[in-house]
Amino acid sequence: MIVRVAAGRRDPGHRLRAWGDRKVRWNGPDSPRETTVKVGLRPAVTACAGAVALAGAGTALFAGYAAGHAQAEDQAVGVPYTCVDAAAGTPTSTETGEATESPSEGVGPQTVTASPTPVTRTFQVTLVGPTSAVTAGQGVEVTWRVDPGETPVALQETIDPGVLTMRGNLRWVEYPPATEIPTPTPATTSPSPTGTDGSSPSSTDQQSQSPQQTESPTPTPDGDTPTPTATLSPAASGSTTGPLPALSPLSPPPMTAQATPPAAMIVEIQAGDFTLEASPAPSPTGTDPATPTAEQTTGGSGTDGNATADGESGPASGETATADSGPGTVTSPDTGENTAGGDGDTTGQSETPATPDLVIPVHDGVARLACTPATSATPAAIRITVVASPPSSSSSPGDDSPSPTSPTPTDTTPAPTDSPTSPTPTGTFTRTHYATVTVPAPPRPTRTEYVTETAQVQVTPKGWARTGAATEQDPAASLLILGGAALLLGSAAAGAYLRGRASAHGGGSRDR
Amino acid sequence: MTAEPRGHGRILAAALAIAALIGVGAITAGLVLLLDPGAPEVIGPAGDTSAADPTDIADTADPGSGADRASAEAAPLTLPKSPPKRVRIPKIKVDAPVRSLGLDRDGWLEVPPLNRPNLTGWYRLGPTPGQLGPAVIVGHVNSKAGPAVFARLHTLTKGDTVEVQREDGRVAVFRVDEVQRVDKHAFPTTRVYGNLPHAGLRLITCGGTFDPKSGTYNDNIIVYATLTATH
Repeated sequence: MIVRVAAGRRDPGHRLRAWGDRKVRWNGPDSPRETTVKVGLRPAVTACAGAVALAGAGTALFAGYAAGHAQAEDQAVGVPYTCVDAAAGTPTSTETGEATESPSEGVGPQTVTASPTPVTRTFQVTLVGPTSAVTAGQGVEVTWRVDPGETPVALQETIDPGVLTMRGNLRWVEYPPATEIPTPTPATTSPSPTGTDGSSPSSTDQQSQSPQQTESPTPTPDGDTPTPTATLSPAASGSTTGPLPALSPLSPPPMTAQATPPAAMIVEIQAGDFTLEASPAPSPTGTDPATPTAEQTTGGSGTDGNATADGESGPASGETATADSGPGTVTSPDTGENTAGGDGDTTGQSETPATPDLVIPVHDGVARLACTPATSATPAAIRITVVASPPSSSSSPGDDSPSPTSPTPTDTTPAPTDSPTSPTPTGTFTRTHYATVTVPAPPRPTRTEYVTETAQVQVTPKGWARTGAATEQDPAASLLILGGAALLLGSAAAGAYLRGRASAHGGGSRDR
Repeated sequence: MTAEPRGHGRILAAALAIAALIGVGAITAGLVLLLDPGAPEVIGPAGDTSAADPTDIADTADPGSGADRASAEAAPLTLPKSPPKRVRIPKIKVDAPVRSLGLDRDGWLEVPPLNRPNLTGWYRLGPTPGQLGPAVIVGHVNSKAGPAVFARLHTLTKGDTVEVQREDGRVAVFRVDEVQRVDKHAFPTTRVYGNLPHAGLRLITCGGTFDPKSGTYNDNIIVYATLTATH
């Protein structure tokens, strides 16, 4: 803002001579305004006072800015993430990390500053769908939407900042309720007869990695290859991928992995969200009950999805073929049944033959969870936890330990031990399935770009251009005055002369 | 005999009376001209007033208004640095030499000498005409002797052309985007001297009414132009 004292202009002949009322023009953004102010001090004093006032104001502003900035940083630091059920619009979970979520941010992307190395990583991943019921043997299409413009979140090498469509089989990897518990979680899932694709080779990897895999209710020879029920094969925007590559971040982390880094982002789907229909077929031990019931997947979609699973499912099928299929399906929505399908991992318990069908209820047509993780830590993981038990039981995602799903009482208690448990007749039990997506997003230092614009005009001149001048006085006026005066005087003189002469002549004639 | 001189005397008296009246009239007229110069001449676009147009700032920040923006969308046409030699404005029949101007000791823009009313000045601390940014050329609207080079600058309208011949032999052709009359106290410094995404030209002269007290005009006439061609 520029304040100019009108009388103080540098116009020639218009110097400031006295003190008193002065008009001040404010060149504000709106329009120039003039104000009359009292100027009672000498310029130096006024300038000093103004400088002091400006300095004070500047200091106050700076202090305020600094305080605000510091506060903002404080708020941002450590905010891990917040998962929000996008459909419902309510936060499903909030990581309890050190940091508190900044209120204003809401669901939006958050920025977190990593401690040693300040890293700002902001991204938002939204899990959308499936929008329809998922039944065993059918493909599942899950869409991960990553907010564009943020730090690239490499869910997989194929991920784009836009939309990553994961299409195919869901592989559920079971984690033991608690890492502490050495024994694998009970197993479960009913083998799905369909089995189909379910088995994706890749899946094998995954499973193998995942501790749960140990699962298997019935000890299958494979043991480890639990049959994954469902495999998420990411088909990023079209580029689908079949089974998840072993290295794929999507592959469930091994038990150890379980200890998800604090940075992990966990998308948890409450038990209530899924309804599993399991075929009652008790899979007797044997064989592999393990087979994954999980089936979710499989081939259904035919898409890639199917491809995947093979491995497991394959086995599954193979092995399991057995169990699974039991036709009868039992729906265990909340109750626990679930079974899941997941990957076959069944744990311990025998798997009940139930072949689960996963039905994901949708909110307003779309089931989606939006997570806004903001963490500097790197391998971030997205875990999808399917808890058969009522939602309430679902564990908070924040916990490192896999969500502790407590099996419903009915559920079998999984024998912690590896020893195969006998499948419950009913085969219903609650279980937690995790689909883990590891996001190996290397921490990146915050990049702040300052665009310094060079002034095209090196030095800006003061004020206006003084490109006018007073024209010289027109001489016409003077000439007119002089001429008029001459005429007037001349006529007056001539008149006087003539009068005198006439009177002289007149007197003479009379005399004559 | 006596009738004749009487007739002559009357005629002479009448002539003297008329002369006296003329003299009185001349004196009166002279006094009127001397004491009351009449309504001051207003130089500049009628409807355009001063300034403090909020867009002044926006123009530069967002570069340019109107044609400025339009021209900014495409890759800006620019020329390398080369001082101007002459400025030609066909519409108002201006063909004037250009000299280099700087700042005076107080930081004000220098102006060409008043004794050379046809001389214009280019502000050398800014871009040269054709370079990226606002090139500034100023000229007097009048001098003590009468109208000067930019006496009719205010009559320019959007679309008129201004040609600047440069020392490198190239001629930068500018198209007038806007003619603005601004109060000197609200001079749009940012808009005139602010960065541009294209090659611009600002022609500045005085306008408005002459303030005998300050010895200057109250307003400035500013012509905003954009480089559209070179040859």
